[in-house]
Amino acid sequence: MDIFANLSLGFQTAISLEGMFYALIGTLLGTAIGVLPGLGPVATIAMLLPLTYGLQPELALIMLAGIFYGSQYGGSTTSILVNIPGESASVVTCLDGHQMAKQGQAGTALATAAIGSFFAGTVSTFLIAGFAPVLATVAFQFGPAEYFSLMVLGLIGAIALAHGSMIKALGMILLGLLLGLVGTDVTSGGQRYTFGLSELFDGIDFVAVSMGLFGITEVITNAGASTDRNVLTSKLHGLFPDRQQLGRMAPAILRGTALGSFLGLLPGGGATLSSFTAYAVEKKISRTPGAFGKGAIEGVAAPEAANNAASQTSFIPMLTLGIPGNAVMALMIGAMMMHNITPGPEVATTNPRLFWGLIVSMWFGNLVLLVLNLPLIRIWIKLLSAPYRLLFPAIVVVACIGVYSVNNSTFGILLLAAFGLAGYLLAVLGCEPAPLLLGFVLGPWMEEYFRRAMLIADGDFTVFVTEPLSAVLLALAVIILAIFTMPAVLRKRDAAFVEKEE
Amino acid sequence: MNIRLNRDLVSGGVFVAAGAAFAVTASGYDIGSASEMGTGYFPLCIGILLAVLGVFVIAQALRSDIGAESVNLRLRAVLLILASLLAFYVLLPILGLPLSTFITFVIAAKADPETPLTQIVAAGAGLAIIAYLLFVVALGLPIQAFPALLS
Repeated sequence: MDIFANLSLGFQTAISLEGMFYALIGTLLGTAIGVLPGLGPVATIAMLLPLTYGLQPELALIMLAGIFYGSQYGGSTTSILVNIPGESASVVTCLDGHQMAKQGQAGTALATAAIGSFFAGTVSTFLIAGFAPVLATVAFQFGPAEYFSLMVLGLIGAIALAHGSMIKALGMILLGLLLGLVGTDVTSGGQRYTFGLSELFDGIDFVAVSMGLFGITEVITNAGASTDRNVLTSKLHGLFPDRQQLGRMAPAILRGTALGSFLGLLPGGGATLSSFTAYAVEKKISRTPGAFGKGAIEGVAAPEAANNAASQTSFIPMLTLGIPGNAVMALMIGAMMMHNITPGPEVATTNPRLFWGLIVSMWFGNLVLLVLNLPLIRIWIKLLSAPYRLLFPAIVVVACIGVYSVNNSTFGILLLAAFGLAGYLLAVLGCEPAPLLLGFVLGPWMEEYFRRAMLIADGDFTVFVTEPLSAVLLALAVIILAIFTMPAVLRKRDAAFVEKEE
Repeated sequence: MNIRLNRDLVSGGVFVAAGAAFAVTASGYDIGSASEMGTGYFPLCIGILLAVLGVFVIAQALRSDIGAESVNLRLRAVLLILASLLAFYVLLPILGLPLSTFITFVIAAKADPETPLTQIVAAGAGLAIIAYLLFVVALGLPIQAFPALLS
C-alpha cells in the first residue's frame, strides 16, 4: 500500500481549485454557524446539508467535513469569549479559556486553540492515511455475521461511552432501528409502516430526523430562557503566545493529540469524551494542578488538540466499516448515502478520489482554520454577539427551507415538527437523541446483514457465536455491557460526568 | 408549566408502547422464517426487544427511590414553535417563500415573550428578503416565490 501515491491522488482532488474552494467555504460557513451560541456541529451539519446536494460526491463530503471542523472551532471561540459552550466538546475549553480571556489573554487562548487544533489535525490526517486502508483490508474478510456483530458492538460501545442512562440509550437505539426500517423493504419490496403515504416509501427523511431531533428540540429547550451573555472583546491584542507559553503548551498539545487520536477510534468516543479526558489528564500530571480553572494554558491546548484529533480519527471506522461512532458520523453516513455511496471497505478502492481527497482536505481545512480564523476573529465576535431571541426563529425558518429542499415537498416539514416535538419530550424524560440517530442510520443495514447471515446459516441463530470473529465481537459487546452496568462502575461513570459538567 | 413525573417510569412506558405498536403492526406483515425472513421478521424482533426493555426500565424505576420530580414543560415554546412549523407547511404553497418565511419567523419568535414586536418584524422582514435572494435568486431552488394568486 503506497501511502504517498494515495496521498498525492488526494492532493490532486483536494488541492484542485474546486476542492480548495469547497473546503474553504465549508470551513468558513461551519465556523460562522458554529460560533452562534447553542448550535453544535450536528445541528450545523444538518442545517447546511441541503447546500451540498448539487455537488459532486467528493466535493460534497469535503465541504461537509469542512463544516464539521469549522463548527467545532467556532464552538471553541464561543467558549473562550462568552463562556457558553457552543457544543459539548468545548465545555472544558470554557474552564481555562474563559479565565484566560478574563485576564486579558483572549487572543492567546484563541491562538492556542488554533495551533493545537492544527497540529492535532495534521497528525491525525497521517494516521487516517496510514490506518484506514489497513482496517479496510481487514474488513474485507468480514461476512454478514461479522458485520452484524460489529454493528452490535459499535452501538453498545457508543452508548457505554456517551453519557446519560445506559438502559434508556439502549431503548433509544432500538427505537432508532425501528424508525430506520420505515419505508420499502429492499429485499422483498414490501411496504412497512408507510400507511399508504407515498412520501414514506423511501423511508423517513434523514435530514428531517436529524434537524428535528437536534435543531428544533434545541430551539424549544432554549427559546425564551434567560441568556445573559457578556462577550469579552475588549482585550484582543497580543494574539501570539510568548516563548514561555509555547513551552507550556507544546507538550500538552502532544499529549492531547495522542489521547484524542486513540479515543476518536472508539465508538462513542469522538470529540466530547476526548476533550474531557485530555483535560483530566493534564490536571493530573501537572505540577501546579491548582492553576487549572484559573487560566492554565495547558487546559486550553490539550483538550482542543484532543477534540480535533478525535473528530478526525472518528472518520476511520466510519469510512472503512460504515460504523458511525457518534451522531456527527451518522450524519456523514447519511450524506454519503444521499450521493449513493455506501460507506465500507470498498470506498477506498472504488472511490479513491473521494476517499483520499476527503483525507487531504481535512488537513487543508485545518490549515484554513489556522490561517483565516485569527484574522477573521472580529467577524466571529460580531456573529456570536447575535441575540439568541432573534437567532432561534431564524433557525426554525432555515430548518424548514432545508427540509423542503431535500425532496421539494412540504411533507418533510411535518416530519420536522413531529421529530422536534418527540425529541423535546424524550429529552424531558432524560432520553438522549444521539443513540436514536445512530440506530436510525444503521437500522436497514443491520437487518440486511442479519438476514443474509441467517440465509447462509439456514436459519441457525448460533452462527453469530460459532463464527470465531463474530463471537469475539459479540463477547466484547457483552463484556462492555456487563462492565458498564455494574453498580460500582456506574457510580464512577456518573461521578465522572458530573465533575465534568461543573 | 410545571408537572411532576417519574422520568424513568414514563420512559419505560414509552418504550413498551412504541415497541408493542411496531411489533403488532409487523405481525400483520409477511413474517417468513429465520432462513428466509419476510418483511415483518426483523421489525417484529426489535419491537418485542424494545417492549421487553421497556418493562425492564419500568421495573427498575419502581425499585429505585427516585420518585416523581418536578419538570418544567416549556408549553409556550412547544406550542409556538410547532405552530410556526405548521404555518410554513400550510403557507408555503399558498403564499410563496418570502411571505411564509416572515410569518413563520414572527410566530416562532413569540416563543420568547420579551422580544419587542418591532424587532421581530424588522428581523423577519430582513430574513425574508435574504431567503428570497439566497434560495430563489442565487441557488435557484425550485420553490414557489410569490403568492399563488399573483403568478
